[in-house]
Amino acid sequence: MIGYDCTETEPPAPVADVKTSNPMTHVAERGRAKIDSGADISVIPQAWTSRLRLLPSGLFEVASFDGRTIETPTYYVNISMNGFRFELVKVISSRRTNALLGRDILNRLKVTLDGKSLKAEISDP
Amino acid sequence: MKDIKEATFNSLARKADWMLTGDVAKAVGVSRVTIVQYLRELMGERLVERKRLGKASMWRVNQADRPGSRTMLEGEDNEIMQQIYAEREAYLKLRSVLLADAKYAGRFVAILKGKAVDVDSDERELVGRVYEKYGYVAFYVEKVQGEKRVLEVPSPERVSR
Repeated sequence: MIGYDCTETEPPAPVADVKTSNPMTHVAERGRAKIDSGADISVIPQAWTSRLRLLPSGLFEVASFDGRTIETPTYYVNISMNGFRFELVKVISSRRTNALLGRDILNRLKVTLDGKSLKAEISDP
Repeated sequence: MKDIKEATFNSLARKADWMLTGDVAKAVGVSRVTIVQYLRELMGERLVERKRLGKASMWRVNQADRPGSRTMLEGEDNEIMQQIYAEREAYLKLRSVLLADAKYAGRFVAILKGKAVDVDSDERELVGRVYEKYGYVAFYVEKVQGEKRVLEVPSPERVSR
């Protein structure tokens, strides 16, 4: 499901229900992901990396909004949402409770945001 | 080696503000090349953060992740991260050779136990093959290119308290 979250984010933000799984063990974690077209890469909560027992497979330097950079490990995961499935997606993790869907995934889809009506659609035309 | 890393962290903690790379090196009494290696390790463990000022880098003790960050990478996790750093070091040593080889240049390479074990222009194909051949292990994937890419995850978020 995709729509605007009006309870946990202010102003409301487009979110999707996602399932993230370990590509080998298939242990899965379900949760919410914010649509973030500003993000170059998708992000999952650190707690998910532990529960999915993900192993790192690289290091990326990542810049935040104020230009500060950190080096952080990358992981490969499978991500499903709204009937779409993406295998071996490279993600990073951070201390947050929801995930972020970045342009690495969004650019494979058609995402329509109607902020005025607080409606969002996602499709693969 | 552990002493230098600790001295690096302690210098930044004492200063409690941004420090230029050269100043950290002076404070610890090692070369810039050496200090960068330890600063990057500390940054990977989220104990230290970096800010760029043109071509210069400034460093300070990580403010955002400070509580609990020392314990974040303990035990098994820390061992795995040390392995990733070692694989990265191996890649950096191999990079000039790989860049000069048409088989590797511009493609993704997988480094495992210090060796380039597979290469592909499709990152997912490469990763899938490595998992199939070696099982679910930690390894290092990098695109063989001269410049290092910095990713952006820039959206500021309001935090409710």
